[in-house]
Amino acid sequence: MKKIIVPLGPDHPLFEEPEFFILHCDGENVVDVEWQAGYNHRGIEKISETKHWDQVTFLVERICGICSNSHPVAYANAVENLLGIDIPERAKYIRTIISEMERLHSHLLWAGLAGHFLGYNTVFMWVWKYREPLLDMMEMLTGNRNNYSMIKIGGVRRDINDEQIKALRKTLDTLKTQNEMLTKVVLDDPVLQARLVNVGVLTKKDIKDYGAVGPVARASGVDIDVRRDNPYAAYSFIDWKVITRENGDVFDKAVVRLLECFESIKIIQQCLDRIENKKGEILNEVKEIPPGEGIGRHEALRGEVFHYVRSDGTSSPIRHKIRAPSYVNVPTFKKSCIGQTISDVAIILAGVDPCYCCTERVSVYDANTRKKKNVTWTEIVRKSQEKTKKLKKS
Amino acid sequence: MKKPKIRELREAVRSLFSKPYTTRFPMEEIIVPEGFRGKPQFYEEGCVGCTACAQVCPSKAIEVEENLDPANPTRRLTHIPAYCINCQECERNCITGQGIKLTKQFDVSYFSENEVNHSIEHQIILCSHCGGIVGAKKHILWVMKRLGSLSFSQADYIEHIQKSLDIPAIIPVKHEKHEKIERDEIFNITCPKCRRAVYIEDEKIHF
Ligand code: SF4
Ligand code: SF4
Repeated sequence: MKKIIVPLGPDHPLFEEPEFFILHCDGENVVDVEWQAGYNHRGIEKISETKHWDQVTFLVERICGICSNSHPVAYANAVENLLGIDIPERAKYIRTIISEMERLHSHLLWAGLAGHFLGYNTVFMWVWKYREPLLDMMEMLTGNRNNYSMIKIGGVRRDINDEQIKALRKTLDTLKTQNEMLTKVVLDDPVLQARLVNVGVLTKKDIKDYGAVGPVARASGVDIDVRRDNPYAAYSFIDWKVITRENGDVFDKAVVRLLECFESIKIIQQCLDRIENKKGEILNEVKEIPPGEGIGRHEALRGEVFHYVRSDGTSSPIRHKIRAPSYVNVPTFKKSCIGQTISDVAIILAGVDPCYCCTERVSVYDANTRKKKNVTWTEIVRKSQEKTKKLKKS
Repeated sequence: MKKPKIRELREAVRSLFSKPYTTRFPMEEIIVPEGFRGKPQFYEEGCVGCTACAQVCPSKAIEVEENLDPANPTRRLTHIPAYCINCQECERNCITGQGIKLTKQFDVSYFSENEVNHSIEHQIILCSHCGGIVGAKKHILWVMKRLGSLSFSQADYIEHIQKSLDIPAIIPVKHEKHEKIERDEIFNITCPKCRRAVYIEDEKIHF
């Protein structure tokens, strides 16, 4: 029997976090997965040691394009933990609003991409259209569609005025109806059920073994969420719930994400209620950082992000450690991909939502003859889309 | 074969008759909202040449070049959009608040760097003893104005203040240059390093 090895990755100019997967295949079935990381080591932790405390916020913002609010929040939490200070209440609400808007746009982006991988390009187009007003709102509130630069140690850099609050409410209302439609479409579509249910299952034990976090863990019934377990910003003042599902397949991951969108909308609306028609401080000026160490956590879109900083009293950190959620989520592929077909691998990998824009290059390796054949990511996506087409016809 | 439901049909019809969400840029202009963080711009009236913006810039997008030619010493601050991350730290930390401001220009594509790099030049004052930099002229004047009468405590400013008030020199200032720094050098413009030396290492006072 010929064993085929399919390497996925590692480098592509558009790929945010180059990752390298080697799929060992027996015919169409995946029998083993290997994962290598570290192709895009930018030395951010080291650069951080050469920057001023305030400048590091902008550095960590650029770790990931989509989580460009998560890392600064976690970093600011860490430094505030070191300082032992609290931030003004209004700043807490603003941080929460921006974090949740980021979650919304990221989950929608994921839903669109998942649709694309499955051959539902209409879903892709619609969802990305729904996401667009949200990004416009971000531009209005923060000054940019991405890389928001809202967080500063001790508070936030910009206030939100009543006019913006009104516009944001309107956007959220529209988004809510659209998201409702989308969720129903996903939940009762038989083809999607056939493609996603019982695909890439991760059990509770798998999650605990791999230490997976975020929506991946919650889809398998592991009820963890930093926002509730270790409240920061304004999450403890607000009424919301953590969404969990039991099966741990890709379908549940999708459901968790879509339902989390409603929770996010709810959180933002409550925050808006509390800051509307009010004035308040948004920044506790921090003059200097004393020696010490601090940790900061934040429930980013893909799970918990963790920052550790240590200060010796100078103007830059002497140690800054960062752990991003994909780092613990990606190894779960080892469990979820095995036994599945290559055409399902695309959606299983996407189901974890790794910073996974563009593994546009894949080569198929014949283990016996050592011959290499290049297949593109498009090819794998096409395979996945063809499978959906077949299902639709039957 | 799965049949579409009414709600999907409704969305499809709505999508069919609605305008595309994408814009026709660059054929059509894009209007960015108030508060958009675009390319920063120096303003001649507001900038005093203190280089605070260059120091706080996280990505070192503001370059400071200093020309120490005694005939015409200058300092040039150049903003390089290719490095700029539009974070607004320069505007927030500008000491006058008016020297550099973010504009709404988001499109900074270019053929040659000179098209977009934009700079501002300031005259600087050199130390009369060692030739080192004291500061930008506008910056020193700005500080003096803010200090008001307190700036009289700075010996080397006295002459300037007297001149600006049209008062004939009360203290005759001697502009002599010595081999080694001496006490009367404090009446000349000196850099902080030399000024410290005056008080500590004056050749006539030995500790
Ligand atoms: S906006 Fe930020 S990166 Fe750009 S020049 Fe100002 S401080 Fe530097
Ligand atoms: S006055 Fe403002 S713009 Fe000019 S050098 Fe100083 S900080 Fe920069």
